[in-house]
Amino acid sequence: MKNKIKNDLILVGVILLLSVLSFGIFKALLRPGNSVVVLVNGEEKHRFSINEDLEEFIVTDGENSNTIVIKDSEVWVVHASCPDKICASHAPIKNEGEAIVCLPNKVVITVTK
Amino acid sequence: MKTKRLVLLGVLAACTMVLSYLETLLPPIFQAVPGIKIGLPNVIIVFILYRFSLKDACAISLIKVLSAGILFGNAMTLLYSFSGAVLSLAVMFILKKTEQFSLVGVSIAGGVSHNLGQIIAAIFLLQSAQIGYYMIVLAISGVISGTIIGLLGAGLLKSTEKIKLFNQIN
Repeated sequence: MKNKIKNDLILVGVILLLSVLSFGIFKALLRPGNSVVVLVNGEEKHRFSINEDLEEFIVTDGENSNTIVIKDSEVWVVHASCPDKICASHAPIKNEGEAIVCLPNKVVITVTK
Repeated sequence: MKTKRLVLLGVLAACTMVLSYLETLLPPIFQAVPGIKIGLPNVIIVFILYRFSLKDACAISLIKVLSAGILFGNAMTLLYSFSGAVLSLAVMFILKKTEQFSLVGVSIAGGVSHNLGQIIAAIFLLQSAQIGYYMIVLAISGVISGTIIGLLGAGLLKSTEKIKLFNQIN
């Protein structure tokens, strides 16, 4: 039984070590992107450089609107006309492949190369 | 004998449902990360794996995933819990077979692999490998919940040792 508890502790150690390692690998794979692409209904509507600050740009499509801000090479949504406001509470994004999605307004904001 | 086994497993399946519901009433462990749960119904799955067999554990696990998914979740959470359940049962079965780990150790491996299974499903569903770095949070929460489940499961096994009914099933 004592031996088994020792093995259990080794197991926990290995699990934590592996997860720290994988975290490091994934973190290293993340690279800051260069442009911000705004898709509305799946079509590219706007493209900005992430390195140029942009104050309160309003993406509109009919009655729907999402207001985005680019600052310090990060992009986020400050206001959304949709009821759930999930995109507006999303943390700023800056790395390649990251995205903020507003499902009700069919707006996707992604960072690309 | 067969009927007793069937009835007991039916009661245990019902227990997983009650525990699934109970868990929706508990406050989340980490407020910051949604979706992290202790996984209370897994106490029953671990118990069945030890007291009954792998086959029974798989069957009850499937019932639990399907019914809890329909009652308290949606198609998406159902898929996540299914892939988590498959991986964790496989890992727990193999580790138990080696006889090198205690029930708590087996349960910890089960908790972590349950989360790993969900991450793998999310990577495929969302087509993004970047969720992978979320694994560190899920590994830690898997260890914590696995320990809780393991201790509860060990207690349950011990307390049912003297109950005649449970000894007549095999």
